[in-house]
Amino acid sequence: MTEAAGEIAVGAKLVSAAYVLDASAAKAYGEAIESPARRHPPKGIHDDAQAARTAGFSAPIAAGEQTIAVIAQFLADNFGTRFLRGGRIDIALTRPVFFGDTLTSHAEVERVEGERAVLRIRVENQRGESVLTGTAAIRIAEA
Amino acid sequence: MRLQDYALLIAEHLKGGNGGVHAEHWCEFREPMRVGQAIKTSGVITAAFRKRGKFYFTLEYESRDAATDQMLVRQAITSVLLNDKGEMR
Repeated sequence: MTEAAGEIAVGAKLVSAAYVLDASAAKAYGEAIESPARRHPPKGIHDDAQAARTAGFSAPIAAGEQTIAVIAQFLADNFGTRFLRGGRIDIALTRPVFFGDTLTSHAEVERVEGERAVLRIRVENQRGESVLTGTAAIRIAEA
Repeated sequence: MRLQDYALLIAEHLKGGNGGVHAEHWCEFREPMRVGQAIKTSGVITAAFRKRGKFYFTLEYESRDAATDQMLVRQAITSVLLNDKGEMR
């Protein structure tokens, strides 16, 4: 595994390319979970329009893990094993993400604590609204 | 149960559990998982509480290499049940 070269200096800012969470993400969700026959209920807020509306959403929403995967990939792309071996994220999902949304990941190095850097992280949708906020910790040195 | 598909767990352990909305998550990455690697995952519901009229639960779980028992990932998810009248069984 090669090392990524994301800058670790307090105040350094990183922004990802735009990522469209398109219909393939909805399909991937359906394939990653248990067969519908074993699910309870068989369809839910991630793959059924009526279930989503009943829960108060205008359309099926992405699973939280899918938005988390977007920021995790961003951190892995920028920091490689410094994130994947010994890294950590603490996040809140602050707004629903709909299939078709365009997501952009942001990170800013906030401080250095011992052998780790703490980053403020955020994922925004195409309207500039935060859908995920929190912190990440990465090792300063390779393992 | 497949990784991170906790709908069945909700149905089994939480009354009124017919799905949840992911609210918070922490995750510690110890070692990357490899394609083809056999993984075992275990978890426990560590908290169930009400806040602003909604029912929340926290599930902590860890994934290890099935052969060597090496820790790969530890994480916890906090979700709000879609059914406000939810409670632990």
